[in-house]
Order: sequence, then structure tokens, then C-alpha cells
Amino acid sequence: MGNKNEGMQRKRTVLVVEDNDMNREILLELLADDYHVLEAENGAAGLELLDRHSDEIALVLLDVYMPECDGFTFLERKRKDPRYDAVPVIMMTASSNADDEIRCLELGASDFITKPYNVEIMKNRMKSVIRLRESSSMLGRLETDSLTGLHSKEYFYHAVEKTLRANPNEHYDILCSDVENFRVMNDRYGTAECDRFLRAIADDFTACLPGLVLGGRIGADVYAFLLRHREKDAWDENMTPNGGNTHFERFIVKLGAYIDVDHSLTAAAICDRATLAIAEIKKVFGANFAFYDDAMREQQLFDHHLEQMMESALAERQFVVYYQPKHDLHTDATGGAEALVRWINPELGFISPGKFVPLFERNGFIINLDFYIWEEVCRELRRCREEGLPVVPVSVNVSRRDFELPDLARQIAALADRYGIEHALLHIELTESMYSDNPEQIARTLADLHSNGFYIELDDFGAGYSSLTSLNTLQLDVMKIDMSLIRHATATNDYSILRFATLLADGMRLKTVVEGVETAEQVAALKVLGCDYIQGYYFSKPLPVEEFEAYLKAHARQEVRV
Amino acid sequence: MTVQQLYESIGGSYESARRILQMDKLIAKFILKFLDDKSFEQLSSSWAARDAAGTFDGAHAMKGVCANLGLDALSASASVLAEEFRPGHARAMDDDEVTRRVSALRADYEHTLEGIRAFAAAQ
Repeated sequence: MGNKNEGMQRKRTVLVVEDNDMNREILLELLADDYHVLEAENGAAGLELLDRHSDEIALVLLDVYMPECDGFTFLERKRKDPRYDAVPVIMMTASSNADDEIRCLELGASDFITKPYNVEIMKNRMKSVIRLRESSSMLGRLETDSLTGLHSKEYFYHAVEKTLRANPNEHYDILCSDVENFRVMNDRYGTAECDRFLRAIADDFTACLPGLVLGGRIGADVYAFLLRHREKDAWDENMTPNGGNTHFERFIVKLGAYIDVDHSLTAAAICDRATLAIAEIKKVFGANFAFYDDAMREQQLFDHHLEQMMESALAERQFVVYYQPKHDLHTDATGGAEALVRWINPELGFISPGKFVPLFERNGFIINLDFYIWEEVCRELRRCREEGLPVVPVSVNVSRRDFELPDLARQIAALADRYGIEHALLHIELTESMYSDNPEQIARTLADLHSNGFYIELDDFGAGYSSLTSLNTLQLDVMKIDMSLIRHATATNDYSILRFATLLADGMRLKTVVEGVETAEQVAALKVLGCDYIQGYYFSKPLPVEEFEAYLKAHARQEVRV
Repeated sequence: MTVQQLYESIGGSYESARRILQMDKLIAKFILKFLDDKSFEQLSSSWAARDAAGTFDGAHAMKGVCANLGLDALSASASVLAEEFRPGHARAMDDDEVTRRVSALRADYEHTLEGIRAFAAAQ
């Protein structure tokens, strides 16, 4: 990058801000041999030039008294913008006025020269101020990452910002790369081998990326590249770097591209956007490339907003439990209910669980929320009993994160005991997909829960991947058949899969609950198939607690057991 | 007429000018430009309008320009007026005193311009 002048004395650029034409011309004449000189006739014009050329300007020579925007105002405004921190200012005063000088020093001026100019003194002061500033600013800015030969993070960010500022009409893209499971690779193959690998892919990117302007290593295994802009369809989304002659025959590098970057953002923010695109495809098998889009940014901001509010929302009881009745087809009465959480926020109104549950699962807050819900359910069950209302089993959802607790079963048992609730009245719902994460741990904890007398319901059976292994391994009591199956059966008038699911459950001595039931025809068909329970809008939508209690009075027998 | 002779005729300091601009060629170039310099005009018209800020700006500019050209006497006279009107400082002279000084400065200034014009004509 512009290193042609290295080795010989590079002519630096000096900005002269002076309102008097003659003084300015004299300075120009005196400095022309040693410097490129930019001229401004007042502070405002000077600030404009500084804005456009801040990376080139090595020094500002600033007159104190000028009409419109004087030297003090210039210094004040300059001080407010960190981009100008590295540009030193020497004041030019016609006489040594101590008050003015102190004020200028306080505002950040580095030195003074007085008129009439003493050329020798002036040039020497300029030289020493520039040298001092340049050496101190380079201290924190190691140019090259010694491992990969790419720029260091700080230097890369600086160079990106400089490039964007210098070329406001050019369009650029940022590509970030991230090695999947790099830590595991490090543990397995050792640092030396991984270093060779990192160097190989950095070399390959550098050799192959089209329109490469700059490359930087911004994290241990994260690279960023500034590229000349290409439209989306010009990108090869299947590109993958060559790992070189290393152990790594199989490795995955995830790539995120933020194209046509916004020049007003900092380089760090620009790279954040590209890495956000990577975050979207992390752990998604087969997806190795993503473009950043504004929806991601909005999602990120919204998630952040929810995270800011979640703890106070829990304390303020904004999370409300709704109950959806389950209808017992054998007794034709309400035979249970599922507890479902709703977030009713004073600012955002009703927030869909689809928006906050995945977020809370990621950040772990789901554990707090689940405990809160379980306790609410226990409290409600006790209330029903104390008020003489019908009491039905209530199923609650557990998250994969809850299973990280080593004593989950004991904790839920303690909670139920505190409210005097028989364990059989609490049903634990888990999804099949959880089982695939950590099967041994899940199986162990479920066995624990089961032996503590809790009923276990397998949720969403038939949605996505269903595995007979999970049915075999887990201690289950109830199979909840996903609503997609009843919808499919109704739409095609083909109940064979539902029939099979029911037979399977029956053969394993599991009760069945069919979700998403909406019509009388569906109810009739499920009755014929021998299903046990029905949950769906045909009987009731999820109800707030008062309505649920009224519903129970009308439709449930006094005490129900599943 | 040499540059040095010009300075002798207008009472300027050739040594100062030499120290700053280093070459006769440059001194000549800028001393001719002094004919177009507007700082005295700003000083006198601002004072006529009793515009203190304008008077300061004019005097301050004239002081700087003259100092750079080695016109030390003019610079010193302008400097006195600049200090009188420096923003934030209390005035020390009455208006008559200022008027007298502006007139005196004008006379010196005109004398200098005459000399420079003669120098220009001789080039």
C-alpha cells in the first residue's frame, strides 16, 4: 500500500489554515520544498479539508485569529472527532500572548510558532512534532500479523477506514471467514499444525479472492477481507480455501459477506455484520456461506432489546402462563392441560414465544423462565385444590438447557413438594430433537424424573426427524402427535400414518395426545383410531388462568389422573 | 533599485525580511503583493465605523503581514492597535487617541506604498 516512497524522504502533507492571503502565500513558498501544502482561508474551510484528508495530513499550521471560525473553534471541533486525534496542530501567533497560548494548549495544540516566521525554528518544530506523533501512533499499530502475513486487526481496521474515506464513491464488500470447531482442531492436532493450517488458508484466500484490497486477521481463526464490490450473483458461494499440505483433509470454513458496505460505519461494525452472517450458519451442516442482510441486523437489535428487558420482565411477572385443555376421548371430559408461556410486555405488547424462547435457549435464561413457569403451575394446581376446583394434570415444557442442571429431577421434585403437589400431576414435555443433543444425559435425567413419579410426554412426535431409538431408550408415558400429521391426514383423507403412530404408541403402552385438532370430523376419526387425548382449537385455545378455571368447572370431572 | 535600497527608502528592516524570506527574489515578490493587501483598509474602515472586532482583525492581520515582510515599524504600530482591541481586553485609550494613531499609521503606510510603487516602476 503506497510504499513506493519507502527509503526516501516522503513528502508529508501540511494543512495551513490562515486567513491572510499574503501570510498564506509566504508559508506556501517557505514550505513548498519540504511539504505538500493544503491551504484554507478560515477554520471552517480547514475543518472541511481535515475531514477529507485526515489520513494524509501530518500536521496543521493554524492561525489563531480568523473571521468566521477562528483557531480556538477549530481546535474545539477537531477535538470532538477521534479520527483527528492523530493529527497534531502548531499554532501561529503574531505575538506571544500567554492567555491565547494557554487556551490553545488546553485545546490540544502541540506547539507554537510566532510571526514573523523564523524559517529554521519553524521547520524544526514542524519536524519534531510530526516525528513524535508518528512514532507514538505506530506503537499501537503493528502492521502485520506474523503468523499469517495478513494485517493485524488494529491495522486492518485502520486501513479499511482509510480506504473507505479516501474513496467515498467506490463500492466495497467485506468477507469474513471462520474455521468451524477450531478449538477442537487445536486440541487434537496441536498448535504448530494448526498454525500451518491457518497460514495455508490465509495464503489461499490472498491468492484467490477476486478484487482483494486488504486482508486482516481479526480473531484467532477469523479473517476479514476488504474486496472490490461484486453483486451477489457474482459470488461463488461454494468457495472453500485450500488447507495446504496439513493434516486437515476435512475442515469447514464458514464465510459471511457483507456486500456494498456502508461507508459511515466503523471497520469493526462492518466486520461485525459479516460475522453476524456467519453466526446464522454456525452449526448448520452444509451451509458454509451467507450474505449479511438488514433483517439480521434488525433481529440482532431486537434480540438485544429483549435481553435487556428479560430479567426485569420476569421480576415484574410479565411472563404469563396460559393453559390449553386436553380433552379425554374416553371420558369425554377435560383430562389435562398444557402450560404455555406468554410474554405480555408494556412496551411491545404480546411477544411471540417463537421470538424469545430460541433466544433464551441460546443465552440460558430459559432455565430461569422454566423454573418460574413450573412454580406458577404448582401454585395454580394448589389453588384449584384449595378452591375446590377440578384438578387435572398439567404438562410443562423443559428445554435442552434445563438438562444441563445435574439435579433437575430433585429440583422439580422439591418445587412440587413445596406446594404439596403430587408428582403425577406434573407432566414433563420434551422434544425429540433434544434427545439427539446429548442422549445419555437426557436418558439419565428422564429416568430420574420418572422414578420421582413425574410423567414424561414426548412432544412433536412426527415433526421433523422421528427416531424409534428415542422411543426405545427413553422412559416415556405419553406420545404427543404433532399437528402436521392430523393436518396431512385431513388434507389427503389418508389417516394411515396417524394410525401407525397410534398403534406404535399403543404397542409401547404410551398414551397418545393429538395436537392441532380443529374440526368435529377430526375428532370422530381420532376416536375411531383409539387416540386417548385431543388438544386443539376444536375444544379450546390456550386460556388465561381465570378462563381456564371457568373451563375446568364446565368440562372437567373433579379429580383426574392420566 | 535593489530590494535593499527599497527597504532603506521605506524604513523597513531588510535583515528581518532576509531572515524570513531568505532570497531577494521572494522579498520582491511579496513586497509587491503588499500593494494589494487589505488589512490596513479593514483596520481604518472598521475604526471609522467604531467596529472594535473588525478593527482588531485588521490591525492583527497587518501586524502579522508587516512582520513577515520586515516592515517592523508598521508592524509595531499595528500591534499597539491590535492590543487595544484584543477581544476580552479592556480598552486603554480614548477614541481620539486611537484616531490619532490610525492617522499616523496611515501616513507611514502610504509612505511605504509610495516607495514600493517606485520600486515596482523601476523593475
